[in-house]
Amino acid sequence: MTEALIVARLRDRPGALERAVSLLRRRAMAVRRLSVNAAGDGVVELVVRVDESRTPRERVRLELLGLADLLDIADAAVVPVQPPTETGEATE
Amino acid sequence: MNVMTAAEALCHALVAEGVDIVFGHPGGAILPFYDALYRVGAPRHVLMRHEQAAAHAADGYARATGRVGVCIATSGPGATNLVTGLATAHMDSVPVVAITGQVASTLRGQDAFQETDILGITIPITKHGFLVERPEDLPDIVREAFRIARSGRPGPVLIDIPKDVQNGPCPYEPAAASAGAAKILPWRPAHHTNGAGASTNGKRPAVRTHIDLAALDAAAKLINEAERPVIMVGRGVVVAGMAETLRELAERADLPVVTTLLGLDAFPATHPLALGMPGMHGTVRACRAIQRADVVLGLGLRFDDRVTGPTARFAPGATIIHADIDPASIGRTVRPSLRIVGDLRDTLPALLERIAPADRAEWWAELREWPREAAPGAGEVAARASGPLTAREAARALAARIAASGGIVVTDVGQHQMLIAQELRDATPGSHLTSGGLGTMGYALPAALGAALGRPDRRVWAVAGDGGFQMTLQELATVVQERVPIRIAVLNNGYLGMVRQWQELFYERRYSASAITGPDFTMLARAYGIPARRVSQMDELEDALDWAEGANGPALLDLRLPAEENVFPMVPPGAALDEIITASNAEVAA
Repeated sequence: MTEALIVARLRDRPGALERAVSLLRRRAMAVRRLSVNAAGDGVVELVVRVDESRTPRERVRLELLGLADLLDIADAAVVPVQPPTETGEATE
Repeated sequence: MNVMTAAEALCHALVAEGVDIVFGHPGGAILPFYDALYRVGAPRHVLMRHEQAAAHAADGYARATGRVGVCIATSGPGATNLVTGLATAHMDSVPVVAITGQVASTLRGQDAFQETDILGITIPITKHGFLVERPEDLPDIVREAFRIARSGRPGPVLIDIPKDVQNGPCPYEPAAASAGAAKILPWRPAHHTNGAGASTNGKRPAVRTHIDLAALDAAAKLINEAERPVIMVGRGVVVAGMAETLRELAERADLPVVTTLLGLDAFPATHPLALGMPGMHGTVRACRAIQRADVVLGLGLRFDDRVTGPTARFAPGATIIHADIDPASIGRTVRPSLRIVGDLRDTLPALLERIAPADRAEWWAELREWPREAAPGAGEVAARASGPLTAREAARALAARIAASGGIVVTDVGQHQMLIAQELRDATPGSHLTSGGLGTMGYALPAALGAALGRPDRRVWAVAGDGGFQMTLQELATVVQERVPIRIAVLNNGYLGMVRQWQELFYERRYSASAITGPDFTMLARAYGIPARRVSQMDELEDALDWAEGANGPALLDLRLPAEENVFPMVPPGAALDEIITASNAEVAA
């Protein structure tokens, strides 16, 4: 299994993050991890990792491109994931 | 620079965007705006009896004029009542701006009286939303909201304004901005600004989209070499104003054209190359053509499930080309082999240049083996001069009248909606309005009201079933108060007809909760001050239509119909398009 990484920078306005996350849910994206970082200057960074076998990163990119508050979206990088260890933890 | 309240600036900013009419209902948190509206005197406000109807009216106005429709509501229940209307507009790509009052900033988050998170609630059903935090931001937000609503794939945008922000000071220069005050325009598309800066509602933008020439070359090669091509047309062609270019494309290469429910007015059913509507209540010819096609060119549509059936069994032998302005809409359901992303105003003419003239006699010989009409005798109005009126004959006569007068028909949802769609022969762009994606019962009356106010030069008919009509019939009062001369036809069979049809065909006639009573609609209409007539016999219909068309104002026809009449053809849910049931084989099965 591979994961894809998508980094979207948004204007930090009321509802901007919620709209982005809502879109991921509504379009049934296979989100593995989600994090939010304040990027300063009224910008917020949304980092999404998806299971690319179920959600091609291009699909994520196309959906997020429709957001009016999107400033830019980074090229998605494919991140190989190691199988879980005996303790059950995934490693990278 | 003048300083005024943000509420006053909002009135001026709306006028600057070309807004002549807004549809709304006042309440506590939006009162500063209504007070400003009183003092500024523009735009015109139409008091709807329910906020859902305000959203539908704005939607109908937008679809009929090609401009942005505007609806207004207060906080809390006023705002939540907009939800169905905004979802309707969102599904069908209709540019609407909804303005809601919100509790004062100091009360936000305290579960204050009539407080609700309308920005959060509407996120999945709007293209964008704004919460205005500073009064001085409001004019720019209005400009941006209108730009977003009409750009790209159009859609609804919400502006939520706390009461204290509406009362706050806002620098604004109305004289400079009001140069774009609205005029009644002939129908044309009015969106796709794409570029920065303000633009008047209705103005064609200068910025063009990038065209992928390689994709166009590849698409043209596929079409030119195809033996059994089909064009599938959606609302995007109407929105882009590309109906004429579509006709040129089809005629140049002898291409059969299938029109979806929302694309019916892009290509008239009377055209020799028209195959009719595809999908659940489409024609046999359209459905079978898609299943037999070797190339399907989709223009400005979503390939939604009502059109495709199971996508794995849709057009099994076809190479699919999908052209749309919204890249996210391409590949969401049907996976095309070729994507053409861009404004059809750019891509369709460029494609046309690359298409070679062709004669596809062999393909047409096969197509003509399948019936093009949904029911025998299409276009032959009043073929039967006596006996009880049927829904099919009522729809046929209505559709013929409306098309002949160059009118606009606004349908509700259900059997009558499909019958009108099947019987509409000569639709022109902007003449057929319906809730296609969301399938919203209660849409017709308020949307027709909005369409009629936007297009006073055209006769507007609202056609509804007795179920849907009862969902928003309070707007008869608005029709009378605003003197809106719409004609209303209620196809009244005492059932939620499409529900009953499904129960008959797929639930062994267990008519669970589908029988519906109602008032005497003629007496009800008269109580509101609207003249009305009842029709139950075929030989009464033409006279009643003459009477309604000749009325000096609104008029209502209560068309009493048999309780159990089905709409065919029908592709059963979950079946492929070529598993279509017609009236004749349904009788055999029964």
